Amino acid sequence: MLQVNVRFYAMLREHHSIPEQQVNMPDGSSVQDVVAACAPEGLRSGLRCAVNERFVTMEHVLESGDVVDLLPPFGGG
Amino acid sequence: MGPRLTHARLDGRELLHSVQEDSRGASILFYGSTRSTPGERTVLALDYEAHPTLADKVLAEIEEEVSQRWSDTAARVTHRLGRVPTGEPSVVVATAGPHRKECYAASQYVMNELKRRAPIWKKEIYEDGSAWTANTTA
Repeated sequence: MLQVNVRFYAMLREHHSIPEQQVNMPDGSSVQDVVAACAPEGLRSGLRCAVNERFVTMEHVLESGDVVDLLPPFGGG
Repeated sequence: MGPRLTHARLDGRELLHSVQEDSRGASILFYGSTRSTPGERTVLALDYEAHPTLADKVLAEIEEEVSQRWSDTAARVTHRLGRVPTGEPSVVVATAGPHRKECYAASQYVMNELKRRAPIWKKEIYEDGSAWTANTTA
């Protein structure tokens, strides 16, 4: 089992009512697995992710202690 | 040079000075402001938030890309965070280069890439509620 810190932004943070949470995942879990565990289906479209403040693909395999940012579709500018 | 992300009201003059050089005969200051009617409902303000480190990193990368793509051309961008009332600027882009062609192109490049790549989010504030809105992909 591995433990990661998942951080939420924008509408995902509002959905959870907290900015971040510790999540336990099976060894070998990917970012996609965290998305499935932490993002409701209606908020997964267009989601991007970062691990330890670097953009990654959904297939990125996690390690215990990783910080996972779930980034909803951007709206800057 | 000031920060790329700030809660303060934006004033582009310092940003413009930061990109001007004697060799750059043209410079442009672009302001993107909050519109009152981007859609069907009247917007009173926009609330912006950003991933503090990734957004700054992405904006810095975009500025560097301008220097790589156009000779002797520089760009600097500042994006406001927090509540931005209608009519006030939420983003300022300063570009400077040898001629206006590079400046206009660089300015447009910065805004297009910012909208596509920067982890910044906005919520429209109405009289009777609010809603998160995302940029449409090109």
